[in-house]
Amino acid sequence: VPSFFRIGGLTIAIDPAIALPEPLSRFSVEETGEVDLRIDVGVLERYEPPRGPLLFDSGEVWRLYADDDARGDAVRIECRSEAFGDEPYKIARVNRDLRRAEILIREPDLLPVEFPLDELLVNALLSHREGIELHACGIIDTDGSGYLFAGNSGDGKTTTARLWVAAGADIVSDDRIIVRRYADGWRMFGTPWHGEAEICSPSSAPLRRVFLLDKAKPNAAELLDTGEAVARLLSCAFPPFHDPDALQRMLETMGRLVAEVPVARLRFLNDASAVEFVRECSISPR
Amino acid sequence: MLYRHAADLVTRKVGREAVIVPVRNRVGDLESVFTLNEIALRVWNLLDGRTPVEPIIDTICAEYDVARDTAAADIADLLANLAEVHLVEAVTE
Repeated sequence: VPSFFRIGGLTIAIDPAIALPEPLSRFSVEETGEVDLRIDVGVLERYEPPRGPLLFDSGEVWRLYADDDARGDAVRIECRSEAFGDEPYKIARVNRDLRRAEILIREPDLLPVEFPLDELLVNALLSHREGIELHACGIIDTDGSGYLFAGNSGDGKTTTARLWVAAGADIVSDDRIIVRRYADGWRMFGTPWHGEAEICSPSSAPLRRVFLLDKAKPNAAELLDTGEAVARLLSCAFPPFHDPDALQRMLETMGRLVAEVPVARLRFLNDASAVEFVRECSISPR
Repeated sequence: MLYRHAADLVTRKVGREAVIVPVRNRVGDLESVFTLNEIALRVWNLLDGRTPVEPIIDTICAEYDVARDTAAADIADLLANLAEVHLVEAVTE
Protein backbone atom coordinates (compact mmCIF):
# COMPACT_ATOMS: atom_id res chain seq x y z
CA VAL A 1 0.00 0.00 0.00
CA PRO A 2 1.50 3.37 -0.97
CA SER A 3 1.81 6.42 1.28
CA PHE A 4 -0.46 9.28 0.30
CA PHE A 5 -0.03 12.97 1.00
CA ARG A 6 -1.91 16.00 -0.21
CA ILE A 7 -0.44 19.46 -0.79
CA GLY A 8 -2.45 22.29 -2.30
CA GLY A 9 -5.34 19.92 -3.02
CA LEU A 10 -3.03 17.62 -5.06
CA THR A 11 -2.83 13.99 -3.98
CA ILE A 12 0.50 12.23 -4.42
CA ALA A 13 1.05 8.51 -3.86
CA ILE A 14 4.47 7.04 -3.03
CA ASP A 15 5.02 3.34 -3.61
CA PRO A 16 6.35 1.52 -1.65
CA ALA A 17 5.07 3.36 1.41
CA ILE A 18 7.56 5.43 3.40
CA ALA A 19 7.47 7.02 6.84
CA LEU A 20 6.82 10.66 6.00
CA PRO A 21 9.04 12.93 8.11
CA GLU A 22 7.88 16.05 9.91
CA PRO A 23 6.40 18.36 8.74
CA LEU A 24 5.36 16.45 5.58
CA SER A 25 3.66 13.86 7.82
CA ARG A 26 1.02 16.49 8.66
CA PHE A 27 0.00 16.36 5.00
CA SER A 28 -0.46 12.59 5.02
CA VAL A 29 -3.92 11.40 3.94
CA GLU A 30 -5.70 8.05 3.87
CA GLU A 31 -5.98 6.11 0.63
CA THR A 32 -8.01 8.15 -1.77
CA GLY A 33 -9.77 7.48 -5.07
CA GLU A 34 -8.22 10.22 -7.15
CA VAL A 35 -4.45 10.49 -7.28
CA ASP A 36 -2.78 13.35 -9.18
CA LEU A 37 0.72 11.86 -9.28
CA ARG A 38 1.91 8.31 -8.59
CA ILE A 39 5.57 7.97 -7.63
CA ASP A 40 7.36 4.63 -7.73
CA VAL A 41 10.55 4.58 -5.70
CA GLY A 42 13.57 2.40 -6.37
CA VAL A 43 17.29 2.27 -5.71
CA LEU A 44 19.68 3.78 -8.24
CA GLU A 45 21.96 0.80 -8.88
CA ARG A 46 23.97 2.26 -11.73
CA TYR A 47 23.92 5.78 -13.16
CA GLU A 48 23.11 6.00 -16.87
CA PRO A 49 23.51 9.49 -18.37
CA PRO A 50 20.33 11.00 -19.80
CA ARG A 51 19.45 10.28 -23.44
CA GLY A 52 18.01 13.71 -24.18
CA PRO A 53 19.42 17.25 -24.10
CA LEU A 54 19.81 19.42 -21.02
CA LEU A 55 16.72 21.66 -20.73
CA PHE A 56 17.61 23.61 -17.60
CA ASP A 57 20.40 23.82 -15.04
CA SER A 58 19.46 25.31 -11.67
CA GLY A 59 23.13 25.93 -10.91
CA GLU A 60 24.07 23.44 -8.22
CA VAL A 61 21.04 21.56 -7.02
CA TRP A 62 19.16 20.08 -9.98
CA ARG A 63 19.18 19.71 -13.74
CA LEU A 64 16.33 18.97 -16.11
CA TYR A 65 16.81 16.78 -19.20
CA ALA A 66 14.55 15.44 -21.92
CA ASP A 67 14.28 11.69 -21.38
CA ASP A 68 11.89 10.36 -24.03
CA ASP A 69 12.29 6.67 -24.83
CA ALA A 70 10.33 3.53 -25.67
CA ARG A 71 8.61 3.71 -22.27
CA GLY A 72 7.10 7.10 -23.20
CA ASP A 73 7.71 10.84 -23.28
CA ALA A 74 9.36 11.98 -20.09
CA VAL A 75 11.73 14.43 -18.47
CA ARG A 76 14.46 13.60 -16.02
CA ILE A 77 15.42 15.65 -12.97
CA GLU A 78 18.86 14.90 -11.58
CA CYS A 79 19.68 16.06 -8.04
CA ARG A 80 23.30 16.52 -7.07
CA SER A 81 25.14 17.40 -3.89
CA GLU A 82 28.82 17.78 -3.06
CA ALA A 83 28.34 15.12 -0.40
CA PHE A 84 27.69 12.51 -3.11
CA GLY A 85 30.34 13.47 -5.65
CA ASP A 86 29.74 14.03 -9.35
CA GLU A 87 26.96 11.56 -9.97
CA PRO A 88 23.40 12.40 -8.92
CA TYR A 89 22.16 11.11 -5.56
CA LYS A 90 18.61 11.07 -6.85
CA ILE A 91 16.97 10.88 -10.26
CA ALA A 92 13.31 11.48 -11.01
CA ARG A 93 11.89 10.37 -14.35
CA VAL A 94 8.58 12.16 -14.78
CA ASN A 95 6.14 11.30 -17.57
CA ARG A 96 5.31 14.39 -19.56
CA ASP A 97 1.61 13.96 -18.75
CA LEU A 98 2.61 14.33 -15.06
CA ARG A 99 0.59 11.27 -14.01
CA ARG A 100 3.53 9.03 -13.02
CA ALA A 101 7.08 9.47 -11.86
CA GLU A 102 9.88 7.11 -10.92
CA ILE A 103 12.36 8.28 -8.31
CA LEU A 104 15.62 6.40 -7.94
CA ILE A 105 17.72 7.07 -4.84
CA ARG A 106 21.39 6.20 -4.37
CA GLU A 107 20.94 5.02 -0.79
CA PRO A 108 17.80 3.36 0.56
CA ASP A 109 17.57 5.64 3.60
CA LEU A 110 17.35 8.81 1.46
CA LEU A 111 13.93 10.38 1.43
CA PRO A 112 12.52 10.27 -2.13
CA VAL A 113 10.52 13.47 -1.77
CA GLU A 114 12.34 16.37 -0.17
CA PHE A 115 13.88 19.63 -1.38
CA PRO A 116 14.00 20.31 -4.29
CA LEU A 117 11.93 17.49 -5.84
CA ASP A 118 8.75 17.90 -3.80
CA GLU A 119 8.36 21.57 -4.70
CA LEU A 120 9.35 21.00 -8.35
CA LEU A 121 6.76 18.25 -8.80
CA VAL A 122 4.00 20.14 -7.01
CA ASN A 123 4.72 23.30 -9.01
CA ALA A 124 4.65 21.35 -12.29
CA LEU A 125 1.24 19.90 -11.37
CA LEU A 126 -0.07 23.30 -10.25
CA SER A 127 0.83 24.88 -13.58
CA HIS A 128 -1.82 22.64 -15.23
CA ARG A 129 -4.45 23.21 -12.55
CA GLU A 130 -4.75 26.98 -12.24
CA GLY A 131 -2.52 26.98 -9.17
CA ILE A 132 0.47 29.03 -8.05
CA GLU A 133 2.91 28.72 -5.17
CA LEU A 134 3.78 32.08 -3.63
CA HIS A 135 6.24 33.38 -1.06
CA ALA A 136 3.57 34.41 1.38
CA CYS A 137 2.19 34.09 4.87
CA GLY A 138 -1.34 32.66 4.87
CA ILE A 139 -3.87 33.48 7.59
CA ILE A 140 -7.26 31.96 8.33
CA ASP A 141 -9.08 34.57 10.40
CA THR A 142 -11.53 33.74 13.17
CA ASP A 143 -14.45 34.11 10.70
CA GLY A 144 -12.87 31.62 8.25
CA SER A 145 -11.62 34.23 5.75
CA GLY A 146 -8.31 33.52 4.08
CA TYR A 147 -5.83 36.39 3.77
CA LEU A 148 -2.55 36.08 1.98
CA PHE A 149 0.40 38.38 2.72
CA ALA A 150 2.99 38.03 -0.03
CA GLY A 151 6.55 39.26 0.08
CA ASN A 152 10.14 38.20 -0.15
CA SER A 153 12.63 37.72 2.68
CA GLY A 154 12.59 40.70 5.00
CA ASP A 155 9.25 42.07 3.79
CA GLY A 156 7.46 41.12 7.03
CA LYS A 157 5.87 37.68 6.57
CA THR A 158 7.08 36.37 9.94
CA THR A 159 6.12 39.62 11.68
CA THR A 160 2.68 39.37 10.11
CA ALA A 161 2.29 35.74 11.23
CA ARG A 162 3.08 36.71 14.83
CA LEU A 163 0.62 39.64 14.81
CA TRP A 164 -2.21 37.38 13.58
CA VAL A 165 -1.43 34.54 16.00
CA ALA A 166 -1.80 37.06 18.81
CA ALA A 167 -5.18 38.05 17.32
CA GLY A 168 -6.47 34.43 17.45
CA ALA A 169 -6.11 33.58 13.74
CA ASP A 170 -4.66 30.33 12.37
CA ILE A 171 -1.51 30.49 10.25
CA VAL A 172 -1.23 27.92 7.45
CA SER A 173 2.36 28.81 6.57
CA ASP A 174 4.65 31.73 7.34
CA ASP A 175 6.52 31.39 4.03
CA ARG A 176 4.96 29.33 1.19
CA ILE A 177 1.31 29.29 0.21
CA ILE A 178 -0.48 27.66 -2.69
CA VAL A 179 -3.48 29.39 -4.26
CA ARG A 180 -5.83 27.59 -6.64
CA ARG A 181 -8.84 28.56 -8.69
CA TYR A 182 -11.94 26.39 -8.38
CA ALA A 183 -15.42 26.68 -9.91
CA ASP A 184 -16.68 28.35 -6.72
CA GLY A 185 -13.71 30.69 -6.21
CA TRP A 186 -10.10 30.81 -5.08
CA ARG A 187 -8.67 28.81 -2.17
CA MET A 188 -5.38 29.13 -0.36
CA PHE A 189 -3.54 26.16 1.14
CA GLY A 190 -0.73 25.77 3.63
CA THR A 191 2.40 23.90 2.51
CA PRO A 192 5.08 21.92 4.35
CA TRP A 193 7.63 24.54 3.30
CA HIS A 194 7.70 26.93 6.24
CA GLY A 195 9.79 29.96 7.10
CA GLU A 196 11.54 31.38 10.12
CA ALA A 197 8.56 30.93 12.45
CA GLU A 198 8.35 27.24 11.38
CA ILE A 199 4.59 27.37 11.04
CA CYS A 200 2.94 25.10 8.48
CA SER A 201 -0.39 23.33 8.24
CA PRO A 202 -2.41 21.45 5.60
CA SER A 203 -5.44 23.68 6.28
CA SER A 204 -7.08 25.68 3.53
CA ALA A 205 -9.60 28.50 3.30
CA PRO A 206 -11.45 30.62 0.74
CA LEU A 207 -9.07 33.38 -0.39
CA ARG A 208 -10.61 36.80 0.30
CA ARG A 209 -7.73 39.22 -0.21
CA VAL A 210 -4.09 39.26 -1.30
CA PHE A 211 -1.76 41.85 0.21
CA LEU A 212 1.74 42.60 -1.03
CA LEU A 213 3.74 43.58 2.05
CA ASP A 214 5.39 46.96 2.35
CA LYS A 215 6.91 47.90 5.69
CA ALA A 216 6.21 51.63 5.24
CA LYS A 217 3.94 53.37 7.75
CA PRO A 218 1.10 54.03 8.52
CA ASN A 219 -1.48 51.27 7.90
CA ALA A 220 -2.77 51.71 4.34
CA ALA A 221 -3.95 49.50 1.48
CA GLU A 222 -3.76 50.52 -2.17
CA LEU A 223 -5.34 48.41 -4.90
CA LEU A 224 -2.76 47.79 -7.64
CA ASP A 225 -3.28 48.10 -11.39
CA THR A 226 -3.61 44.73 -13.08
CA GLY A 227 -0.18 44.72 -14.73
CA GLU A 228 1.66 45.88 -11.61
CA ALA A 229 -0.22 43.38 -9.46
CA VAL A 230 0.80 40.50 -11.75
CA ALA A 231 4.41 41.74 -11.93
CA ARG A 232 4.58 42.01 -8.11
CA LEU A 233 3.02 38.56 -7.64
CA LEU A 234 5.49 37.13 -10.13
CA SER A 235 8.34 38.46 -7.99
CA CYS A 236 6.90 36.44 -5.06
CA ALA A 237 6.38 33.27 -7.11
CA PHE A 238 8.62 30.54 -8.55
CA PRO A 239 8.35 31.25 -12.28
CA PRO A 240 9.25 28.30 -14.54
CA PHE A 241 11.64 30.29 -16.75
CA HIS A 242 12.85 27.00 -18.26
CA ASP A 243 9.38 26.32 -19.67
CA PRO A 244 7.85 29.28 -21.57
CA ASP A 245 4.48 27.49 -21.93
CA ALA A 246 4.27 26.94 -18.19
CA LEU A 247 5.30 30.57 -17.63
CA GLN A 248 2.46 31.67 -19.94
CA ARG A 249 0.02 29.57 -17.91
CA MET A 250 1.32 31.08 -14.67
CA LEU A 251 0.80 34.63 -16.00
CA GLU A 252 -2.69 33.68 -17.20
CA THR A 253 -3.58 32.26 -13.77
CA MET A 254 -2.19 35.37 -12.06
CA GLY A 255 -4.24 37.56 -14.42
CA ARG A 256 -7.38 35.69 -13.33
CA LEU A 257 -6.40 35.96 -9.67
CA VAL A 258 -5.97 39.73 -9.94
CA ALA A 259 -9.32 40.06 -11.76
CA GLU A 260 -11.21 37.97 -9.21
CA VAL A 261 -9.56 38.65 -5.82
CA PRO A 262 -8.47 42.10 -4.60
CA VAL A 263 -4.66 42.41 -4.73
CA ALA A 264 -3.38 45.44 -2.83
CA ARG A 265 -0.10 46.87 -1.55
CA LEU A 266 -0.29 46.87 2.25
CA ARG A 267 1.64 49.28 4.42
CA PHE A 268 1.46 48.17 8.02
CA LEU A 269 2.53 49.00 11.53
CA ASN A 270 4.13 46.26 13.62
CA ASP A 271 1.30 46.13 16.15
CA ALA A 272 -2.28 44.92 16.58
CA SER A 273 -3.63 47.90 14.62
CA ALA A 274 -2.43 46.21 11.39
CA VAL A 275 -4.75 43.24 12.05
CA GLU A 276 -7.76 45.48 12.71
CA PHE A 277 -6.94 47.51 9.61
CA VAL A 278 -6.98 44.41 7.37
CA ARG A 279 -10.19 43.07 8.94
CA GLU A 280 -11.95 46.35 8.19
CA CYS A 281 -10.39 46.88 4.76
CA SER A 282 -13.13 46.95 2.13
CA ILE A 283 -11.21 46.99 -1.15
CA SER A 284 -12.72 45.02 -4.03
CA PRO A 285 -11.35 43.99 -7.46
CA ARG A 286 -11.39 46.56 -10.25
CA MET B 1 12.47 53.28 -38.63
CA LEU B 2 10.83 49.88 -38.15
CA TYR B 3 10.72 47.95 -34.91
CA ARG B 4 9.98 44.37 -34.01
CA HIS B 5 9.67 42.49 -30.73
CA ALA B 6 12.89 41.01 -29.37
CA ALA B 7 13.18 37.23 -29.27
CA ASP B 8 12.67 35.14 -26.13
CA LEU B 9 9.94 37.19 -24.49
CA VAL B 10 6.94 35.74 -22.69
CA THR B 11 4.09 38.22 -23.07
CA ARG B 12 0.68 37.91 -21.46
CA LYS B 13 -2.29 40.27 -21.65
CA VAL B 14 -3.82 40.73 -18.20
CA GLY B 15 -6.99 42.78 -18.15
CA ARG B 16 -6.33 45.78 -20.38
CA GLU B 17 -2.61 45.71 -19.67
CA ALA B 18 0.23 43.33 -20.44
CA VAL B 19 3.15 41.80 -18.61
CA ILE B 20 6.38 41.03 -20.46
CA VAL B 21 8.97 38.65 -19.05
CA PRO B 22 12.27 38.31 -20.92
CA VAL B 23 13.52 34.71 -20.77
CA ARG B 24 16.93 34.51 -22.37
CA ASN B 25 18.73 31.17 -22.44
CA ARG B 26 15.92 29.86 -20.22
CA VAL B 27 17.00 32.21 -17.45
CA GLY B 28 14.67 34.88 -16.18
CA ASP B 29 15.35 37.89 -14.04
CA LEU B 30 12.62 38.97 -11.67
CA GLU B 31 14.10 42.48 -11.64
CA SER B 32 13.27 42.70 -15.36
CA VAL B 33 9.53 42.18 -15.55
CA PHE B 34 7.77 44.87 -17.56
CA THR B 35 4.19 46.07 -17.74
CA LEU B 36 2.47 47.92 -20.57
CA ASN B 37 -0.61 50.04 -20.04
CA GLU B 38 -3.52 49.89 -22.47
CA ILE B 39 -2.17 52.37 -25.04
CA ALA B 40 1.41 51.11 -24.81
CA LEU B 41 0.02 47.61 -25.42
CA ARG B 42 -1.81 48.89 -28.53
CA VAL B 43 1.48 50.34 -29.83
CA TRP B 44 3.30 47.13 -28.91
CA ASN B 45 0.86 45.07 -30.96
CA LEU B 46 1.57 47.27 -33.99
CA LEU B 47 5.35 46.71 -33.79
CA ASP B 48 5.49 43.92 -36.34
CA GLY B 49 8.78 44.79 -38.06
CA ARG B 50 6.89 46.01 -41.17
CA THR B 51 4.80 48.98 -40.00
CA PRO B 52 6.68 52.30 -39.87
CA VAL B 53 6.21 54.61 -36.88
CA GLU B 54 4.12 57.23 -38.77
CA PRO B 55 1.15 54.90 -39.44
CA ILE B 56 1.34 53.72 -35.82
CA ILE B 57 0.94 57.36 -34.69
CA ASP B 58 -2.03 57.67 -37.10
CA THR B 59 -3.67 54.58 -35.62
CA ILE B 60 -3.28 55.80 -32.04
CA CYS B 61 -4.65 59.25 -32.95
CA ALA B 62 -7.65 57.62 -34.65
CA GLU B 63 -8.42 55.34 -31.72
CA TYR B 64 -7.71 57.65 -28.78
CA ASP B 65 -8.49 61.27 -28.05
CA VAL B 66 -4.93 62.60 -28.27
CA ALA B 67 -3.22 65.42 -30.18
CA ARG B 68 -0.85 64.18 -32.91
CA ASP B 69 2.18 66.02 -31.47
CA THR B 70 1.57 64.49 -28.06
CA ALA B 71 1.06 60.99 -29.50
CA ALA B 72 4.22 61.30 -31.61
CA ALA B 73 6.31 62.41 -28.62
CA ASP B 74 4.87 59.72 -26.32
CA ILE B 75 5.38 56.96 -28.86
CA ALA B 76 8.97 58.10 -29.48
CA ASP B 77 9.59 57.94 -25.71
CA LEU B 78 7.97 54.52 -25.48
CA LEU B 79 10.06 53.13 -28.37
CA ALA B 80 13.26 54.54 -26.86
CA ASN B 81 12.39 52.95 -23.51
CA LEU B 82 11.51 49.60 -25.08
CA ALA B 83 14.76 49.62 -27.08
CA GLU B 84 16.80 50.56 -24.00
CA VAL B 85 15.55 47.52 -22.08
CA HIS B 86 15.93 45.30 -25.19
CA LEU B 87 12.25 44.48 -25.61
CA VAL B 88 12.26 45.74 -29.22
CA GLU B 89 14.94 45.93 -31.87
CA ALA B 90 15.19 48.25 -34.86
CA VAL B 91 14.84 46.57 -38.25
CA THR B 92 16.98 47.82 -41.13
CA GLU B 93 14.64 48.75 -44.01
